[in-house]
Amino acid sequence: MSERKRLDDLSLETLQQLLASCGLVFSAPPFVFRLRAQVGELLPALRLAYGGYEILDEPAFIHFDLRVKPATGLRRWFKPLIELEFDGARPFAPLPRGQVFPLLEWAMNWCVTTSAQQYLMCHSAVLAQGEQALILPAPPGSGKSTLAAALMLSGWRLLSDELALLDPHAGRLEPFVRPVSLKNASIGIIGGHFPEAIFTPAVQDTVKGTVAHLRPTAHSMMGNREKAVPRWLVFPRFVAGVSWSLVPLGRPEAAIELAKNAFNLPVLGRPGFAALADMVGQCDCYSLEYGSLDEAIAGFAEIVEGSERGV
Amino acid sequence: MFEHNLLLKALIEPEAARCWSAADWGLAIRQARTANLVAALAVRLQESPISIEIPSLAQPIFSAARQTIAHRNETVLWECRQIALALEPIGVMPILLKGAAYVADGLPLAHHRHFGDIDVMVPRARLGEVETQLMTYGWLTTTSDAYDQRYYRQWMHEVPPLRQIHRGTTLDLHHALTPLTARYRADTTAVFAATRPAGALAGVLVLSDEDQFLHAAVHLFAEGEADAALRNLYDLVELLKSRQAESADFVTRLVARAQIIGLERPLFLAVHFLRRVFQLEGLEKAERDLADACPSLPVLRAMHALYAPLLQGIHPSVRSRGFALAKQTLYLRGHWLRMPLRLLLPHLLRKSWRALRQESETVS
Repeated sequence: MSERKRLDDLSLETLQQLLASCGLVFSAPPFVFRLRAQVGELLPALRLAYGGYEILDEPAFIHFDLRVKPATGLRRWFKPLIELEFDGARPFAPLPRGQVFPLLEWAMNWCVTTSAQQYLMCHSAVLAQGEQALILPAPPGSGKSTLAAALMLSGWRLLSDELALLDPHAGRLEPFVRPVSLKNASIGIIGGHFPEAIFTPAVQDTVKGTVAHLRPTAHSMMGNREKAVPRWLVFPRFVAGVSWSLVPLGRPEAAIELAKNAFNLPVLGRPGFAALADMVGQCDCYSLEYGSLDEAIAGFAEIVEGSERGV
Repeated sequence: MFEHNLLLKALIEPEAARCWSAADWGLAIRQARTANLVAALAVRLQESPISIEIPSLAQPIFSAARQTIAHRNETVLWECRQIALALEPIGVMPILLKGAAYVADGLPLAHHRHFGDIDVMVPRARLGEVETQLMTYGWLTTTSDAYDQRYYRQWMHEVPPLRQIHRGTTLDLHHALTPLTARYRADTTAVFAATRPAGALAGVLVLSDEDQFLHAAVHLFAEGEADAALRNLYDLVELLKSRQAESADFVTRLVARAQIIGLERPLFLAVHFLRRVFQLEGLEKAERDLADACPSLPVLRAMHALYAPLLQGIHPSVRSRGFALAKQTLYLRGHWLRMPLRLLLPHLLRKSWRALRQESETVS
């Protein structure tokens, strides 16, 4: 195969031209997106966050076709908004132009969560060491993305910061490597800890507060097609001021907790439940409270080491 | 003009998919997704007389779509059983309509057809008792707006949608197939008299085979659900295929039945468009027999102008310039057929006033 072209290789003009004409076709394995847009605000964030993504020149199998454009209707005269079209449909309310990049990110997630029923999908961050995966299921606001960002920046391979895709037949986790979405105080915390981290410009006043996206590490991008085997299942909770506390969790309990985060479990029915049970059966399960990122990074390294010694 | 309509082409002639490139497969699936026909496409390709190799990127998408529908069917059967149980004490057997009926009747098209709400019909005289009974079992009305309630109850063939408070499913409760004020009105007494037990689920009724088809036709050609036009026409294709496979004289019976219950015009249009869009054969005689129901030439031309763009589907790659206008016109036509002008004008004015107010509220 010839050398792969990445978004970083495109000049700003070429990128702008592509977005405005036939569209930028890029691969975020296992999916291919096409993006068309004439909103200048999108360019800097897109280059920062997606610079490492492969561009497809050939006519390709496109899973999701997205287009960002100024909103029509009465509103455009007094408050310019942008809206997002997904294969011609408009499933989202228009947003102010400045929020175009977060809107795109949410739309991409929405595309996958509403249609990729071939996977058992869980709200969860997934990271890996080699081919062994750490699954961190948690509801929004529990510090899951911050933890995923910190682990990724200290050497773990990111598979996803919010969507675990379990292939129910193979029992493996499919990577869907995407920029990590950080909110409010997390942005400063991660930026302070990891000065080398590359962020998109922070966008204020979104429904989730201030949002910035973190570029995936080169290590994560290299492995963006390598599936991983479930190995550790940890339910994290950030509590300010507490010290690292890791409590082993019984597998039945862990399975029930995981099922709560597996939002398409009912659709997959029995095979989905069997896959979920198998996955839990393969994992060491814990519930975790932590109050400091340094402790968390060291703590997770210890879990890995302990498992290696134990096996 | 529509050489890019891979979906429609493959539904008519699945062999066409043999020369699709990777990009074509992606496009066909996206066209199918906007038309709610992904699983239907998968099944149609499988039926092709010449075997078609489905690329590895498409396979999981097809199996996911079919899995989603299989799950939906299971829950729909369960939900229908709950409705039947709720109505049992008052001695009313629910008559299932549309999607739910296809599932309960075990029709092949139920395995690849998308739908959301459950449609049920009961005798109008029992409506009050039925609503009370359903409310006891957790189906509550979705609108407390007095005008909406009155609009539905005085003029429509259904009450405002009900929602199951525990499971979130939506139930459309009908007492007739067509609005009380409609231009094309099905003879309700005859329709009720012809109902029969469902083939695959005990305790519920379905319409007769002919009435199921006629209901689908009136739905497509009188209610103006523009975005779903292609899916609704494909329903007719599949319904016809299944029923014809069971009995060769189905089309003849269909024509006779349309004349009895008064739905010749929608049936004429269904036959007319099935022949032209899907190139179905064996319908020439039916179209001739229904010639009296054929609209005048200008009206027929207008119907073509309206439906041709809609029946291409709504994906941007096949959306013609006339689409938005056709959709608007069809919306008005749907209302025009539903109620006389003296009721319609105040109703539409009221609706647009409300829409404007809502828009200004979201802006401020």
